[in-house]
Amino acid sequence: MAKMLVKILMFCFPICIIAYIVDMPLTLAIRQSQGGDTQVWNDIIENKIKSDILIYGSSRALNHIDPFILKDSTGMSAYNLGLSGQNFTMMKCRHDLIMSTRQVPKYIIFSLDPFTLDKRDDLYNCESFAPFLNEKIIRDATKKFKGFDFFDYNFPLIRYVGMGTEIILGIKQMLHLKYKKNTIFPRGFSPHYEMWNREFEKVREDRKQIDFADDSETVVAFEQFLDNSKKNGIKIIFVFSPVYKDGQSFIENFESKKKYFAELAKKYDLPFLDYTSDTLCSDKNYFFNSMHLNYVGANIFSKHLAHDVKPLMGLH
Amino acid sequence: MKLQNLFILLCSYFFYGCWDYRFLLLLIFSTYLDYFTGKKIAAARKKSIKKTWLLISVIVNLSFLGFFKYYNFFAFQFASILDFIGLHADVWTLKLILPVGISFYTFHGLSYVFDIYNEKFSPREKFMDYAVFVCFFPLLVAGPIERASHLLPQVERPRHFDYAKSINGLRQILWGLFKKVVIADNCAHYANMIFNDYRTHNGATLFLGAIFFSFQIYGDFSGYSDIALGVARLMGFELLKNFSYPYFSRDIAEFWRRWHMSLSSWFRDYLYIPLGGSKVSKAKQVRNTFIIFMVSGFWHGANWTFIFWGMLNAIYFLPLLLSENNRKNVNFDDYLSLSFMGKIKNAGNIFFTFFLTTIAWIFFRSPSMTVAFGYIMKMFSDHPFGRPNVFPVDILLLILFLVIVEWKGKLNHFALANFAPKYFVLRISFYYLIIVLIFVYSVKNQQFIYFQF
Repeated sequence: MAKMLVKILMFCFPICIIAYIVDMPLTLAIRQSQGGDTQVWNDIIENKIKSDILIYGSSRALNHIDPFILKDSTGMSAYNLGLSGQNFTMMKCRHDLIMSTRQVPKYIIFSLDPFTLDKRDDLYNCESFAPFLNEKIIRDATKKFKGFDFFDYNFPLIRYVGMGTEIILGIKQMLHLKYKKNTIFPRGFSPHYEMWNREFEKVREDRKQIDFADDSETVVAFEQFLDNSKKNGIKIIFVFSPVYKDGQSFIENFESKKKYFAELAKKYDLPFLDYTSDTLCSDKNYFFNSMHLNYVGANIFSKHLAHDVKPLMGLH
Repeated sequence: MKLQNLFILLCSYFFYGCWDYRFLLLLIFSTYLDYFTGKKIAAARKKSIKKTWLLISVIVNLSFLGFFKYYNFFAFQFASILDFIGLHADVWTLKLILPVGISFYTFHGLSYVFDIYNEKFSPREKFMDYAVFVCFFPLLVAGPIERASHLLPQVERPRHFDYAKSINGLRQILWGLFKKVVIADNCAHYANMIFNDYRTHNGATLFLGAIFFSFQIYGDFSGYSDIALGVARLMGFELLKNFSYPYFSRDIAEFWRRWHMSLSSWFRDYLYIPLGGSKVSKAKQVRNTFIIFMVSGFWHGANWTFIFWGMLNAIYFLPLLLSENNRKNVNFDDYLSLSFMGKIKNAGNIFFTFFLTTIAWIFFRSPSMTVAFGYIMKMFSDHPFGRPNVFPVDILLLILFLVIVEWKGKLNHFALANFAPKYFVLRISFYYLIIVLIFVYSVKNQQFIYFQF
């Protein structure tokens, strides 16, 4: 038995050593080889985001608000930090990273959703966080979700198990081989080119309505964020971007959610732009599902938004 | 030994409880039922009393299996029949969770009582030993389906650490992991992609999708079996071999002697032979063959696709049975003495058998008969020799790697059983290569297919 244990240890020893040595270069290579969310995380960490206007929110912010249109209209540079599948908890993580780089924006356009203050247990798109677990702020934020386990946090390379494509791209990057980077988000923006995809009809076959409950901890964190932003001189603009009309009635507490955000806006003296009654909301051609505008809708909406925020920023 | 068995039993219950502790009671009840009826059968003097206890065990065991696995299937079929004759019925279906491994542990228990009834085996006094035989964790959820006469004597004697066997066990675990994590899970990704959206792909892609599924199910199930056998060997047990390079078979009869061997032999011993086996007229042999294959299909799942899969295999088997060629190809040893032309012929037979098997797997994989036939029709009619729209070169190379390694090791108990390159560095490098491949190609959240059976 002892002989076998010794042999196993001797067999594993080089693996452990190599894993520790390879972890950092592979992590950097994966970061460099990926587009999408990873590229946005890179921009934040590498202090490349020096925009006056930052767009916060979920995939609805990511897909809906075109920073180039905002820039053309306001003359101020903008960057979209919308994070797909996430509510305020992970958005706060991005905000904390931004603040740690001391690149304080002038304006934050906060795209609100019915689920902004909701709590989800799982870490959506968990893999995209793997190369950033050595960043304390991201590491701490991910610990609030079921995504990574003890081994992922404490042992080299384990967090990349199941990420074959990313590893191979990373290796190609390390070896300076040719490869195709996945989708690039220009200034964080990711328009969606699909037309109405009938996902909503499928969901409605199973459920008549859904509702979102606020998580008390997230609510407190959100109010703290509003308070601190005010103290730091950051002007926040609340935006409720279009939701397809049937999608609005599908969410049981849709109106009360909006009402709550309107009250918060009043409490913190923030402008609240609500587009849920916009004409866009009654035409499926502008959406790819009930919650998300497609690129046509996003283009029209971004122009509306750019026009509406100008006076709020003192521009004419 | 008592402590060894107690430890294994507790580990096995813990392992099963981790999935769903509520079904532990069912497992314990099923175990006790067969232990108890086994004793009663042996103690009974009259044949009729023995038969009564056997029937109690069979009926209760199959009732549990039928209730959890087949209730909804029969409820739907009943409603469809009523619908067909113009009577509308709201079927009362249940959202049942299928207890993991129920098909496996039920068959373990049944083999024990059958063997006692046939006086091939005497009942065991110690419940713990019997419980270890039924619940031994490496084989509890997906086999191999053990026989009391093979495993129980190993449970009853003390086990000592054996260096050579343990190293061999580790090697088999490593190869099993490769087959599951690298081959099966990656093939699953492409097979799912193609099968789920088969209408949008051309024939060549659908053919590739079917091949991916063939390797998915092989990698998945034989990989699990390798892991189970390897883990058991580490603890001093030798489990029944479940796979013996089935895709190198030269005809369907040989394939079924090499695929899921523990289930095939179970059906042979407890169903085919009691039905008369091959010692009856040709007509009855044909009937028995169809019964065996269709029951085997139904064992895999409550769907017409599984039954048809079984029937299709019976149809494949029929010409061999009628021409009495079903035992023509038994061992791989004769490969070595073949002439060049003989090797070419053998290769042709292997490819043809693989082709037939792959066609049959389409029924196994499809959610319904309509989808399966639609898939096959499109596969042969829409540019079957065209360029596939899905062609993952790296996965195909990994499949080729698997085939080469298995071909090289086909005369051994498992592919790496006698893996001993001359140079130590080569051997170690090969193991590291497998570990790197497992790391790079592992896919998250892929279940073992056979857990659902």
